Amino acid sequence: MADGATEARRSALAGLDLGSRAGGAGGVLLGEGPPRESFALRGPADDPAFARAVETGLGAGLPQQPGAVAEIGADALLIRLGPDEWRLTAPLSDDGRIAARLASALAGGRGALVNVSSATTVIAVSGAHAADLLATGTGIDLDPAAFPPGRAARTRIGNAQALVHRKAEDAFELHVPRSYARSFWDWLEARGREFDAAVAL
Amino acid sequence: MLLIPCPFCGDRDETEFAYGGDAGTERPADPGAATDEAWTDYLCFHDNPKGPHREFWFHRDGCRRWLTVERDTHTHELGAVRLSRP
Amino acid sequence: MRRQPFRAAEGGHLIDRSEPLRFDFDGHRQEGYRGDSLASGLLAAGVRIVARSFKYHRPRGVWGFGSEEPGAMVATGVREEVRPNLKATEIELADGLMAFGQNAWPSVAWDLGAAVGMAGNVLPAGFYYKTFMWPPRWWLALYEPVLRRMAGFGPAPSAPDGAFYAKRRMHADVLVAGGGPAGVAAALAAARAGAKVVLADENVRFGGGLLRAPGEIGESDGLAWIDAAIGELEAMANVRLLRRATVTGYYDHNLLLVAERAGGDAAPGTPETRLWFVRAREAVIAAGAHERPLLFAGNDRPGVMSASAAGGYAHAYGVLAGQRAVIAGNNDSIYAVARLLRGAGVSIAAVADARAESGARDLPCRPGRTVERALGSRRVRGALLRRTDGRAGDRSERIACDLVAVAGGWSPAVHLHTQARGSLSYDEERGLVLPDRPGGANRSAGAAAGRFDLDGCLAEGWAAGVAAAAASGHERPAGEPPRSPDRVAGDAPVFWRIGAGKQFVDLQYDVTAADVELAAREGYRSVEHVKRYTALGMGTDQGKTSGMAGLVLLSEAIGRPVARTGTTTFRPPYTPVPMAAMAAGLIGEGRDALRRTAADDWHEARGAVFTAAGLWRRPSYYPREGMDEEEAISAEVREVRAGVGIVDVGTLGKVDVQGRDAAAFLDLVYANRISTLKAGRGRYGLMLREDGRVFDDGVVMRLGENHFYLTTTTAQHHAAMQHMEFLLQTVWPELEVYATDVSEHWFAAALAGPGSRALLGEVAPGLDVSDEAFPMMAVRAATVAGLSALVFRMSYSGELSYEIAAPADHGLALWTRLLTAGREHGLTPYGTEAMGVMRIEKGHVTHAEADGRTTPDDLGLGRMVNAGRRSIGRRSLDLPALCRKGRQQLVGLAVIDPEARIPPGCQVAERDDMRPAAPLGHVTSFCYSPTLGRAIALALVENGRSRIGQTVYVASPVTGLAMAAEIVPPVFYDAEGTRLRG
Repeated sequence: MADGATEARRSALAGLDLGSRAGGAGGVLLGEGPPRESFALRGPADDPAFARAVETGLGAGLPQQPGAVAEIGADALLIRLGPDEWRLTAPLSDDGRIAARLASALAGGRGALVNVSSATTVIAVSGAHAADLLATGTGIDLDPAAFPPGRAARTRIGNAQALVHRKAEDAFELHVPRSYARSFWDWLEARGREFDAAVAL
Repeated sequence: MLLIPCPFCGDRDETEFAYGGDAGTERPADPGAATDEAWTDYLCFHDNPKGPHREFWFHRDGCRRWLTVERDTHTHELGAVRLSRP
Repeated sequence: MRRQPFRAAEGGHLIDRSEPLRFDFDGHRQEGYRGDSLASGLLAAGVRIVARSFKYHRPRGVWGFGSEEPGAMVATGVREEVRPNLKATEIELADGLMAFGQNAWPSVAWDLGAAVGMAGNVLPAGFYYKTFMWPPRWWLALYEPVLRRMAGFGPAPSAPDGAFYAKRRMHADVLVAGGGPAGVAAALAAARAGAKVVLADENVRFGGGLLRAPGEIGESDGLAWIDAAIGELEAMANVRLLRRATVTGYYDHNLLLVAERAGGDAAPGTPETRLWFVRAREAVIAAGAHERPLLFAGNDRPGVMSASAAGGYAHAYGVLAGQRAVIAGNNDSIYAVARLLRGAGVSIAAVADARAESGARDLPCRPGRTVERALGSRRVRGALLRRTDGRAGDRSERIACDLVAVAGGWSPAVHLHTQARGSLSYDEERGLVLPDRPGGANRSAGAAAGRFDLDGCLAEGWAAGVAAAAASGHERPAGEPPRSPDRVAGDAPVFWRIGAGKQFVDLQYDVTAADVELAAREGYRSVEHVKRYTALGMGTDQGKTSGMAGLVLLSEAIGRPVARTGTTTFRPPYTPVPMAAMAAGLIGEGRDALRRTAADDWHEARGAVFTAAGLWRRPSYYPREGMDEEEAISAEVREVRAGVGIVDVGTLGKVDVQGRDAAAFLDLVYANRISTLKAGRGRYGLMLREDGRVFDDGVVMRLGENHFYLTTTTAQHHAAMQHMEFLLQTVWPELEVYATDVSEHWFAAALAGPGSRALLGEVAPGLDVSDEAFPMMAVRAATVAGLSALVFRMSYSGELSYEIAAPADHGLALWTRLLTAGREHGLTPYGTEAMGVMRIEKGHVTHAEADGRTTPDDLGLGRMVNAGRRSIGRRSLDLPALCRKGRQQLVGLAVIDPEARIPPGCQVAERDDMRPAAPLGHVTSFCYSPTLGRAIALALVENGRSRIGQTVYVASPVTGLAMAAEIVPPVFYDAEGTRLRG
């Protein structure tokens, strides 16, 4: 990274100053997730060479099921979003290393790896009524039997498209497009009043 | 609101999709070789049946796949739904 | 007088006598109990006139028991927050409730509008199509104000509804609509089978018909059985019970809408109404049935009431709907109602059974007789009974009473069944419209399917629950269906009317039997037309009680069997849904997404005036002290043209395209060739639609052999992305190309103006910014202001210019660091207005010119098209219609008067007299050009390029303005492009 990049980073939600508003307990806790780097992995799922390259680069196989989430090492995830699309996401502290490994494994072969780290803002929604809050704005079935912890789905919630990752029965991470993040947060808070939502750090 | 069984994502609300029009015609492989009549036929003339219709739907908020959907325009009953590109 | 003179000493399973409540009706203080409805409270207090009717302002009392109520329309609350058009039967009494009857002034008891009722003949069926037509000028002055005062429903609130409304989605295996015996049995069966069940009922307590009349299930009281079953269901994790929740709509693919009156103040965060959108694999429709009226003169008088409702008020609330009752009907239910009322303390004057053969020894029976006329004016004082077989010489019997309870049989609630596109059949023998073939994954059970005996309802409900569970993939439940000794079918023959006089069919809209017959005489045959002509069934009750009577009357009048006359279409909602509930989430905060760029906080702090660009907000301009809008925009333009400016272009669409066929694909997508680009260089790209019209434009940059980065316009970003994915997936699936939307990842700002090179050189010390090293349309990766960035040399403003893109997380840092560094260069932030002025001065097109009708040639871009014959849109350009003479072409317009300003929406005319004539074309973009010192415009003008030099008129027929302008080439400024080189 170039000089001065670390302190240059600013979340799409920074203007809300969530830190000063955090506190209290409610039926739902809303907060910004830890910063992550993200990459769009594109490639032919049915090509064994591509699958091998991914496995070489990541040390884990391509998740097959729609919405399946493969865990790679410490908190890096590979999520299947479409027939030829996966999302690789890791803590910002990884500093692009995992993507670099994957890129070198893919080099010369089919597929593409595109940095989309700034493209999404991660919002954490948790608490007893977390699923109820999301159900005010999405048509996917959030029953744990249909959408168990460890699964992800790209869908529409309220006023934005979101990649929903269910981390536990009552804990979700929503990856929303950066430019939508502020108004999506407003939407969550407005709908959250029904569940006595509070801001978590 | 329709419930469209996306072959990749599973059952999803219509609001996640964009309608893409008639899927009953095929683009001429070499448009330059098509007569004006054949080309305008492809461009402008589509059946608008009351009943079964094959049409495109784009899963915009899901897997971003174009689907070919058989839908009854009268009852909204859906027939086969498949990925346009398998 | 006692506070509740019509309250029985005991009884009433819905009320809690230990908790008296005060309420206020039409300005009078009344008292009721916790658990009362407003209707039961009013009846207990002896209030008989609750509202006035729509047309004749006749007094209306309580007729029904629940959502079927046609007459007792009230409003609650105070003036600003009034809630109109509520049914007294559906309002739960609360301490301090304020309510008043509708359609009455000054009050329901003394209503001036009632004079219309005496002159009733002037308002026949379709009166609003016939009367008040002439002379037309009387409309605004006289007819409308008078009609508005007299007609219509309750008052509209003047203040916004401050209550909270909510919506929520739910998924279920089985949704059961209606919590009577059939519905509860269905829910029990499906839930025991393991299905995910939602059971919704509109009442405060489950029980359905058992709320109104006692019944026996198993060995015990019916309601006790219901309570036990509900207790079992409540304890199951796979069951959700919704009370006060009406299934109001059945939509495509088994999406059902449930309106839950959640009550608002029950707990913090509780909405007033919550709409549940339930996607159910299977639905069980156990919505019950509505009791039908009998037609006789005066059948709308307060005191004439549905028999089951009269019994229900006694059973559920311990309220006597009268002291002395005549009960009339055509089926066995009248005897049970009579005994129920007698047990509660009502004196039974007569029980008139329209059928000759029925009777009961313990009651004052009048077999073969029915009510011919209800006596009294503002309320019932008596009834005339008469033989139903019309035998000659029969004299009417006059009986004093204050309650006429009528039982005209039952109409199954087939609404949800038909909303799901199910078909209906008419059972001639039983006089019932019944659900036939279901239109969705549903089945009707119980009274909604024409089963009126308790045992049958339980059996049918249970079977429906078993079947629904099986259809949603569950095994058969253990246990047997509950049984009841009540196995009386309760069928009624079709019997409607006797005698003459004003016989009301629709109590809410004042439609009489004579109105229906008049419509038939006037030639109406279709039941749908008669509904609209007479307004029958168009009230808030949607004809639940009146529909069948209207249908039979019409069939008789036109001499066609009921089965062939057919019913009107039942549309959602089944019962009214508050507009505020439908609007929940669609108004106010968080309704639409508002997209913000990474530098948005800076723009806001700087006081930018924002403009909407799709969902984005963008700085339109930055206001300046002592300058108006035009001056501020002009200052931004001048400072860019003379120095250097910066604009936020983070809203542009950006797409990463990779794969071995990437270049070949882009050649097919763009109208100009992309594959000849060298790495590190970019090109203006023009996208067409397949029909040859310009779709979008942007810049395509080649980052590597098989790697491109392209921009789209802000407006067409999603459409362009979708377009490319369509082509890759359906037209050329053999191409290996990965198009990835990276719009959200990249922020971008453009430095523009002759000073931009010096500033860029300063903030990107590692980048050689000389014209030779970094020529026009080149792209470089560089560190700019300490941040990794991509820099493109290109221009939109016509000046030397660089677009700098950095990941959006660094966007604000890039923006502020550039501004800080630019301070010494006089760097000016500018907005979309100045950007627009500069692009008009340069003749660049946007969606205003590429409006979906224009070809590249129309826009003067014809020379760019060099795509191969397979490319999108290329073939269409050769169609005769797209290359004929006389098409509108893009030109510039220079307004001659330097003081003139062009208003929006102008046409281009040959004359300035505003006489109607086909215009030559229209203005697409216009501005005041500070560079030229006059108003200029881009316009699409017929054969425009051959008219250059002509004087035409920019005319605004709306404002009457016309100004002379010269047609000029569309590039007003630096046509040679020397400034781009800096």
